Amino acid sequence: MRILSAVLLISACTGPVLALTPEEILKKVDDNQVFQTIQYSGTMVIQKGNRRKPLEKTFFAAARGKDTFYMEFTNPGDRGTKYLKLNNELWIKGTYAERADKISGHTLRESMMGSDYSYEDAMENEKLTDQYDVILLGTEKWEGKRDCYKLELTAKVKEVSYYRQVIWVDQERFLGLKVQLFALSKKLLKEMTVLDIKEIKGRMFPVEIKMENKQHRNSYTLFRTKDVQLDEPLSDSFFSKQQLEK
Amino acid sequence: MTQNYIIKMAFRNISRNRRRTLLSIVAIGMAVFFTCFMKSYITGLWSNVKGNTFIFETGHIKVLNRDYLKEEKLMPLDLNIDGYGKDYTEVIGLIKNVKGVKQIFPRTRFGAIINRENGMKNVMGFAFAPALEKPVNSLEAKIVEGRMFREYSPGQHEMVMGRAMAAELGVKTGDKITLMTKTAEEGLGHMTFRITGLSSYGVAVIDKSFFFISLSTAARFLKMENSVMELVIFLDDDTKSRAVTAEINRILNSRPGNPYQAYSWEEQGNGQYYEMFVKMSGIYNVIFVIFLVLASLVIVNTVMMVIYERMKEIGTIAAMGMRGSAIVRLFFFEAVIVSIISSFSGTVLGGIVSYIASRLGINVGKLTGGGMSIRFSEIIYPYIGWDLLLFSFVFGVVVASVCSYIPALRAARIEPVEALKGVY
Repeated sequence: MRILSAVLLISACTGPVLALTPEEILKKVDDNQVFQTIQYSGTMVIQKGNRRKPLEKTFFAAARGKDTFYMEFTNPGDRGTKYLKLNNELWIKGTYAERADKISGHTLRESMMGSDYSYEDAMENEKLTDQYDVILLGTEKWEGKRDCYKLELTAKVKEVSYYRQVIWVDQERFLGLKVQLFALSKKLLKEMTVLDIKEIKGRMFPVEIKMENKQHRNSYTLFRTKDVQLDEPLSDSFFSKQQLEK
Repeated sequence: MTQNYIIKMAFRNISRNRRRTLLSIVAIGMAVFFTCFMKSYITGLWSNVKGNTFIFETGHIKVLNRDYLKEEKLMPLDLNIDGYGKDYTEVIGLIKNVKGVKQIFPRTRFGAIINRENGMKNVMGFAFAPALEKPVNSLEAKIVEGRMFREYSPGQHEMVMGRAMAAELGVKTGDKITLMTKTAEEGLGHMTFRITGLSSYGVAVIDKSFFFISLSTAARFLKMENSVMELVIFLDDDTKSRAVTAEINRILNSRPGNPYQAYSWEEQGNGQYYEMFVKMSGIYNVIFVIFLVLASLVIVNTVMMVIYERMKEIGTIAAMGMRGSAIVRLFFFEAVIVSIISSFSGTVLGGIVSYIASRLGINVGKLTGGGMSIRFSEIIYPYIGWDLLLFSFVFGVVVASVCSYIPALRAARIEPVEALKGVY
């Protein structure tokens, strides 16, 4: 969930902090992902190489904390398709199905709704500091605008989707502006870039993210959010498996 | 010495030593019987391999979206056939009257996942029009329990499942099962089906991992309302596939921006099917020739032993004044008469056994362990036909007669004294 919900990264931080260790920087990035509730409408624009027209999928999403997440697609082709994440389980329910199915095994590595996010990306909810060792590679000006820490993360546990990550962290907001995701073979698999950030309830919130699949030419997903509501009460029915199967 | 007299003498010789004649007839007859049955089995096996390949994989010709083959392993359903603005029937309309085209079957094959308690199982979906395909691929005839699926209607999602797959999943007819797949719009296909019947094609891979649904159900499940993955074409004559393919492509390419292409079975899979057929045909021919040689050796051995055993008799009739050419003819006629009787018996016996086997089938699944490819059925139905019987009969008669000629010729050239002494 962490990677998909980079949209959910919320900066509670103000002002640059000097002389931070890499671990402290990463902890601040982790801390930025904490929220009570969130709901929003979204669009995924999926480009698969040059031979196909981009696909546009619209959805409604709601999340409570880091462990519960609900997503319902609203575009004509996928209307009624629902995802529900409950703790470490991801459930799906299609329009013509009479029951929900749990996504597990190798299917978790597959693309979610044709996007460049995998189900595993959607399932991620562990803190980076628990999963990765971190070193500071240096500081860089990202796109000539924002001063960033450039961190290199190397997995210290086996259960991670990506063995290595390089993150450009905004020095002021502690928001990951760009993330490169590598395999154990050192091959660059995906690259996520924040394209647009808006201030919502006094927090900086990324409203447009580009996730590129580096294994395929011109394959990317633009993840856009609108009508974002933070820390508003949410109905329990969103996060009920029984409700999902109705 | 007249021909009639020699023939009479040949008959008399045959009936004189009945035990020897019977042994010859049995030996030659058995060789002909095995030849007949072996040819029947190999022809049946070969026909089975070709049939399964054509029905489930290549057709005689296949029309696909040109880009599909680049990503064939991923089975991308968005690279489909959806016509030129309306639906796939537009493409059928364009090519159905091409000379040589007998039938065109719209189909969609796709991968799906069944979620089980102990993990996920990958299965293969086969969406087709059963009424249209009945002459070539009758699923209804392969249903061993329950009934055929019906077309889609709201709330009615029906499938026929391979019997072995049902056994593995622990489901039966009437049960419901939910499948997941990726739709043509890259979304999630998720549908609950009622299993209306179980099928058995006798092909391990199909019975273990295939399920069958209607095109109308697939249209909803896969979001392919107006499209199919492929058009499978069967011809009057599969040897004309390349010429007909060229004509179909000429017609398709006459449409501006045409994205479809026809592929003959020979060129599909980068020619792997054609290569496989050539190799297998070669292997089967070699096996059959080896068997023919072995059968011939049995016949030759029998005929030659009969003649060499009778060398003293040959010396006697030569000493009595029978000429060499008459001796050769005598033994030749004897061999022809014996070979006709034995070949007829062997052919009749081989024909009966092959006929029974062609009806009941021979289950080779237990020998192979049932894990063979889609091209091999577990039950092989040997071939039976007049050409098979004629071949077997002629083979026995010709080999026995020709082989009798050589030792008879040699015997006729031996001096009577030497023949009588047994020095030859």
